[in-house]
Amino acid sequence: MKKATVVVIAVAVAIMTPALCSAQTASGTLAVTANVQGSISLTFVSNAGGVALGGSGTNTATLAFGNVSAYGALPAGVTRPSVTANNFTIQTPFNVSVVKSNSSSANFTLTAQLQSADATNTWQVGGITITNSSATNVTTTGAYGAAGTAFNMALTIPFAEASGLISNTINFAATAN
Amino acid sequence: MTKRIANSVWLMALLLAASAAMAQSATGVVNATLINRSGIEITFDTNASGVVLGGSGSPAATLAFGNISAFQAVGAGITRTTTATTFTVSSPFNVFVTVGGVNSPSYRLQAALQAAPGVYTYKVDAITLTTANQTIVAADTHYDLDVQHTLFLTVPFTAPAGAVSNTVNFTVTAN
Repeated sequence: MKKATVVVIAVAVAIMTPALCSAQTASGTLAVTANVQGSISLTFVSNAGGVALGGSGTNTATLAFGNVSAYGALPAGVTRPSVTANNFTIQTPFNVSVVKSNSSSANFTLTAQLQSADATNTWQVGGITITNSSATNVTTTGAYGAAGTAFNMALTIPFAEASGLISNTINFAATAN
Repeated sequence: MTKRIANSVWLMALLLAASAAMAQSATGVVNATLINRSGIEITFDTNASGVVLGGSGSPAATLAFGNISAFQAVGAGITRTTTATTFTVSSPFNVFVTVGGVNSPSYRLQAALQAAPGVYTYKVDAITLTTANQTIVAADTHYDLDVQHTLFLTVPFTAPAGAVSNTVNFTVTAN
């Protein structure tokens, strides 16, 4: 009887132990890109000699003169540089701080504009009369700096005006030159 | 007697035929083994709160902050902080590490800048990067999971406007 032949093929390869592995290290890359752009910021800062601003250090501040009159006492920080035959002027200093970043600009232009028309009183910033009709240059050579530049906020009130609340908003804009 | 011999012959023939029929089979056995090599891999994935990565899911990704500045709006997924002299933008991203064939409880994550940063500062998490490998995490046990990290770029106010770029080379090693 012819016997069947059983053939065994053993493929034996050494099984590598962890000790024989190359170091388990891998690498990856994260490419980082950005485009830096120049920018400026504008904030209002209380002036040591003036009325304390609400929101000092921000770009939305409040300046409250308080009770003012042609002849009565004035609050701290408010002065009355002028009383004429038919009006009086009060004023207080405040700082405008404009800071630049990543810019070669040498200085800035600052404009101001009344938000609401006022046909009775006269508003001035840094000695420049401002109205609601258009933005008016307050300075064209503003100096950058965190401490800011001092400007006087002045309000001229005619004697003919009835006593009571006077309010308005002044919109400022700084543009790098 | 002749009949007896004939019967014997027939019997033998039958037996031989049966035997021949049973011999049509054969068997063989192949024993095969394979090499189980250990390996580790790192990939980067977009974090839901961060900038969308280019090449997310691969070991070569890009993180583009886009236009950045100290005072203007920044893009989605980017956080900005400022000081008196610098601003910093940051964005989270995920690191995914997988390992096989080795009993490793954790991995070490390191990072290095490809080029000197100049006036800029790059950080991953709280680690300031240089061109030398810095350890971000010495033993992270989170294999096969997205692990969040944050990339920070600090720009001084005195730096000129323009493009900024660098590559962070990450190395992961099984502990």
